Amino acid sequence: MTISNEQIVKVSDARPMRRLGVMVGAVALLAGLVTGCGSDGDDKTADPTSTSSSPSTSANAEPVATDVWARASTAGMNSAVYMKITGGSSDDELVGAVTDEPLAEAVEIHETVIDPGDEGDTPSTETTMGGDKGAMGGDKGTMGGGADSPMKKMQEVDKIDIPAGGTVELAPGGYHVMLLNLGSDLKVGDSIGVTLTFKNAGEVKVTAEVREM
Amino acid sequence: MLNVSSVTLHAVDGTPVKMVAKPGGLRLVYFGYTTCPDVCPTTLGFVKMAYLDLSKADQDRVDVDMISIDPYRDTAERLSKYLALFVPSANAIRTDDPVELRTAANAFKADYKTGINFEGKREVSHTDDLYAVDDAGNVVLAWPFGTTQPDFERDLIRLLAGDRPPTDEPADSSAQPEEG
Repeated sequence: MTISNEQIVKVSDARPMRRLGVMVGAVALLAGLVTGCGSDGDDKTADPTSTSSSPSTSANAEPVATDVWARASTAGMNSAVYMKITGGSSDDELVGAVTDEPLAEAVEIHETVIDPGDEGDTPSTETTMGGDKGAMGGDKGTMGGGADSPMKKMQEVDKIDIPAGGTVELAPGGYHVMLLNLGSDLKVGDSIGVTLTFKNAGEVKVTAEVREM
Repeated sequence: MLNVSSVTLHAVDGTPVKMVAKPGGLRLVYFGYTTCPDVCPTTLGFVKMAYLDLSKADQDRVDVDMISIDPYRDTAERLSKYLALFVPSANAIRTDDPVELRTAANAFKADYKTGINFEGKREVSHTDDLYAVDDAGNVVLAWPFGTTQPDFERDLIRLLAGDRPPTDEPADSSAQPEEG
């Protein structure tokens, strides 16, 4: 099935990643010989003999995405795809993602971050109850209802670093693959084919399970 | 303790919504926007799960409000449709009056910012707490994003049972433990 250009995720120079995937991979292979190998000694998944061999020739060289899921949502709204990515045998970067079917107007990689600006606008008050726990039984349990919480916002990112053998989570409140302006509902139980593009490893296909929030 | 009883906004159907719970009840109030696929649906999802776990009697005591901090994009229809995914009985609240919205947010000590970034894209930031308001208009608890669903649900049940978090006032005789 062909993927229309509208589905190609935007990266820094908006080049069609999918077509260049193989070429980029090949170039990166050579780069990987020089740059990707420093940590082989500590690398849990590194093949001991592959310190300077091309990463994609060994079986587990690619990053692996697991627990891939998408939020249920409706037409016209946005959604997000989350997953855990375990790095392969060399450092890599997630640089793109597309859905295999044209489900959304655009697919982008986003990060929810604290808005660093405008301290003056953020009211500083007494603390909320317990910071990351926020439970009545938690540390502070104040009644202030104060917004000690910073403002958060989403921003598109060009890449997510996937260190060799490391695990990076795309989870609520952090990184996510955003599906913008869905054409139709995503219902719990649906499966979505997603193709991830890694700078070195190239394309990796995964299936996202649509879950309830 | 923060009191928000001075705030009355309007649901998309025109019904005035005062930030005070029913007698013996709670209002769960969230400032967010529908284009957010990440933080807002997570929080509202928790509310949905907890709400569905409540008995019908308890559900009747709880009002859920979402106040859009991005009324530019969140039309009445869009906001209603969005909320219906979570708690269909929730109040979809928006206002085109920027001063009214800011006043309401200030009462909760919530903050938000919308604008266009350097790439020409609309950018929205907001504080992501979920507030519980009692029948006197007091904000009895504010859950920051990152609160787990089980913690939130447990807190909600306790609040509905009449428990309140420890306060500075020694006269508060609530029996719950001070420390987790």
